[in-house]
Amino acid sequence: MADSGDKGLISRILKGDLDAYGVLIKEYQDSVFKVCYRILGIRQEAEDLTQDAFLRAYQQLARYDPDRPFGPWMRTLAANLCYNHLKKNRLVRVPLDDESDQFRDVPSRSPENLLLISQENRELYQALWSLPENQRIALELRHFQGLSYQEMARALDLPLNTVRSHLYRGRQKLVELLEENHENN
Amino acid sequence: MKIIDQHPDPDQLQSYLDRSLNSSDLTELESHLAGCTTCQSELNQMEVMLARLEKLPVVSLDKDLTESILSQLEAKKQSFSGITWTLVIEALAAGTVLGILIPVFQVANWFSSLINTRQEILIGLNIFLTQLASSWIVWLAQLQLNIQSFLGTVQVQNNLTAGLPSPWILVLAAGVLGVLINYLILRDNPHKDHQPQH
Repeated sequence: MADSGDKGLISRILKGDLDAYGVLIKEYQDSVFKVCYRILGIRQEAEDLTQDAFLRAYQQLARYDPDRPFGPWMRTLAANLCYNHLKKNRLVRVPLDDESDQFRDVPSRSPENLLLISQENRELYQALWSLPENQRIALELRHFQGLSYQEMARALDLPLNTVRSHLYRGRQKLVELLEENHENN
Repeated sequence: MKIIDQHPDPDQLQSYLDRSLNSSDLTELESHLAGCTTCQSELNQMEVMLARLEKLPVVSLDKDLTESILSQLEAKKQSFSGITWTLVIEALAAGTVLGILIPVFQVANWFSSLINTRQEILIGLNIFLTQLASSWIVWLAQLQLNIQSFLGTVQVQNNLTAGLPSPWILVLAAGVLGVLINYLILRDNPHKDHQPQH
């Protein structure tokens, strides 16, 4: 269930109070941004999609069930938006061998972000971003959002078996990519 | 064949990783794993990868997006009211023009000087009514799209969104109306006006 604070805010928003929506945005923008960043891998794009997610959420708030927690609903909506964005733009993150070239396909990532991430995690990120979008989104929803298979199928509007298959292939592919990376080093 | 004798299928390994196997399947799988280094290794790699994935640090948002999002919502609200007023003014202007032109034509007796056969009157009327219906249907479709946009961005009341027809239905309705008007006006076959008299 949405906590009582969120519930009160949502009720005010439904009556047209935009300031109440501002409070909700402040509370959840960072966690929504993290979802977008994990899926997209580009800071600027993740910020844009975070904004789009909150604009979309505002439109869909009347359909939101206040008996469910707001955070997971909002983050799932954001993940789905990123997934559709990738599909629409056919963005593919290509894994690169040369470390100096590792992020050439994501030019907007700032150097300070690279310094903050260890080499090991950088490899993991790179592997994650090089997965096909359907596998990446399945991993995001399952491992970062903690959604059940049924919830994932509902969120992505896909059959349960398709979701399971995406998740399995994503896990397998991630292991393979990390292995390859390990062998190359 | 029992799972203990063969490698488990992907679904079973998934369920094992998700800790969702029932107790009998779990026992069988664990028996198999105890004697199969290939499966042990595969599972171990998966578990290590998942543990790393769950500890993956993420960069944080370094700016507050609240103002930007709220200003976009405000802009949509204002844009909607601008479009609505434009449509209202257009409708009033069209009404005024029709309200003035038709009496002027009647007073000046221009209708009869411009068109005087029954066929010409019917064709003129047909064109006028079809055009009028199409314009109003397009106007209505546009208004309806704007209402949807307005409801989506400014107002979030469930009951207001219910029952609005799709713009495609309105366009189809315009087509049907056009055909109906043509049928009603021309069903008597205006060509008979020009048939030779016997």
